[in-house]
Amino acid sequence: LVSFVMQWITLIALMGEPGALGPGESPGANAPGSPPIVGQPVDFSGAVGGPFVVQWIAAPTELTTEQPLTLTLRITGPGNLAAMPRPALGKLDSFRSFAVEDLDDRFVPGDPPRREFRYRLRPRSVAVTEIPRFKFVYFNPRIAPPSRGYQTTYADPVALTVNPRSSPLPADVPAWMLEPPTTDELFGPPRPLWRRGLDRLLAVIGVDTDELAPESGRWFAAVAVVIVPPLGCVAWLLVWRRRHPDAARLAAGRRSRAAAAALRAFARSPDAEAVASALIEYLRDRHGLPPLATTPGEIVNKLTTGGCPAPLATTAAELLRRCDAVRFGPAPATDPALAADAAKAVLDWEAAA
Amino acid sequence: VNFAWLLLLVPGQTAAVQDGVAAQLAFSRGMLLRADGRAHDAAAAFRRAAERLESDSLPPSAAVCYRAGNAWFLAGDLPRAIAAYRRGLGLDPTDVDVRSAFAYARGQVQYPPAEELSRLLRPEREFWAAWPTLHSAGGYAFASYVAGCLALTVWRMSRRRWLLVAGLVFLAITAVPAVGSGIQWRNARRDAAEPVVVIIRDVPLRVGNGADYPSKHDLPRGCEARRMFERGGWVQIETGGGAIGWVPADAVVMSVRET
Repeated sequence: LVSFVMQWITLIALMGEPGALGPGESPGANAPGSPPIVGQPVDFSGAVGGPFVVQWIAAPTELTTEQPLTLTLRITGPGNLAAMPRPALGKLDSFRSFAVEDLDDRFVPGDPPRREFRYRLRPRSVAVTEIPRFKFVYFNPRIAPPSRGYQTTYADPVALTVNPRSSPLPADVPAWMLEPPTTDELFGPPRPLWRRGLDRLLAVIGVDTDELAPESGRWFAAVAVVIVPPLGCVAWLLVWRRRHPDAARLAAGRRSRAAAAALRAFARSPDAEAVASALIEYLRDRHGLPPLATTPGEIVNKLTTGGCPAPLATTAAELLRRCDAVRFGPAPATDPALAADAAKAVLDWEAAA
Repeated sequence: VNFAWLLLLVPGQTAAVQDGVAAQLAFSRGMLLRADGRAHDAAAAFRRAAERLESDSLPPSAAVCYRAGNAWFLAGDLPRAIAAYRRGLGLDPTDVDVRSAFAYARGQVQYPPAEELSRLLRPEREFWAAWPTLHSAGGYAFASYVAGCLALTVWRMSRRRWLLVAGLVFLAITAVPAVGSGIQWRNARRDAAEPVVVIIRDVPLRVGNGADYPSKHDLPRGCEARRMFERGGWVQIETGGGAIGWVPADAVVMSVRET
């Protein structure tokens, strides 16, 4: 009975001193028990052991908005500090005024051991005055019953002085940037007198000229700008054709590439040899004259058998005979109308085609 | 003295006049404080001027955006200055003042020194100069269009080849600003669908919409990107080089006015 009572007294004494360690018992050798699920706080840090001391170390404490500071969360005490996960400061409501970025962490064995988590914080506004208090929940397995083993401790807040970002140095700012805004830039140039008078007159009948924005007519104007020039040109072309039918016929004749080449040749060189050459070339390109047909007789035969109208073949042969007469006649002769007649014949054929 | 007279007249004026005059006063005060070496107070004054210049009451114009950008820059807020200049270029892409100020502000952004990473984060390059558009060269384009139509008509009458060539050349000249306007219209549509945002603080570009997701790159303050989606207080963005990721919504400022 005495032995049983002494055991109870010893146990109660141990429970009364939750952080006390036995003689020769090192803090690192403190074997933590597993924390119970029932009654576990939602913000349990995962640390088992204790008691723990938690503190912030921040540098610098005077800074400007968005300037980074390095924040170290130091947790000191016996327990499973080497295995505990990193507290997620970025998810805490109290740290919403900071941009939080995780840095490295380290475990320092010793007496007592400690764990340090480093963060990079950026205060988002000048309204930030401190690094807020940090709540740290751990489980102490020496406290019985286990459901009461969850303990809470806090890291004290750290005062911060956050200044607004300073403006650039004068030397860094170009001169045009220092010009103040002018009234014309802000409100537009003043309306001329006639426009103001018109506005007043229209206002009498209930028309606000500011609301007569060109938006509604813009598409109409764009379509008109695109369509009107070609329409005008087409109208001009039709009128011109009606008034100048010969010129129109000439233009139509030039539509054929072979005819255009022949007409250019007639205009360029009116001598008989060039006219004959250009005429034969035209007949070959346009009417399928075979290359072997060179004399007027052969040309008439080949064109007629090739399906060409007889008047065309006859006219062509006649023109070629006139060319031969000029070229091979006994006495030097000229035929000033030869080129013009050839051109007329080509245009007639093109018109008939 | 002029400003004092304006101040007396302000209470009876419209909101636009009140904001405009207040902006002018704040800017002038910022200049005085700056000259006195009171940088923080000057920055606060310039910030007030910029906020007034960006108020809805003032009619939007490239000139107002230019002045607002200058005020933001002098207040030390480079990202908002870039956003303001960008807004001004949206209103008038040919404004030389806004364009040069925009280039100057962009040059102040500190991108990472690594060339490959810098190329990934830098803004999109513009492959078409601002001036050849119908907005800026509409008169010349119309004259060239008319000349082309006339040349082709006369060619039709005479079949002279040089007229055909001249007509086609004129139409090709007309096509240059027309293509420029088409590109500008396409860019405007893209800006409306995926507006450009400016990063207002150095922030990691994360793989997902949460602080737990790993970081891909560190975005510098002033970096421009396109906003693709927004979810749960996080914004998905795409940088000019094509890097896609998430940043907190409060880490960006829009370059277009949200209605």
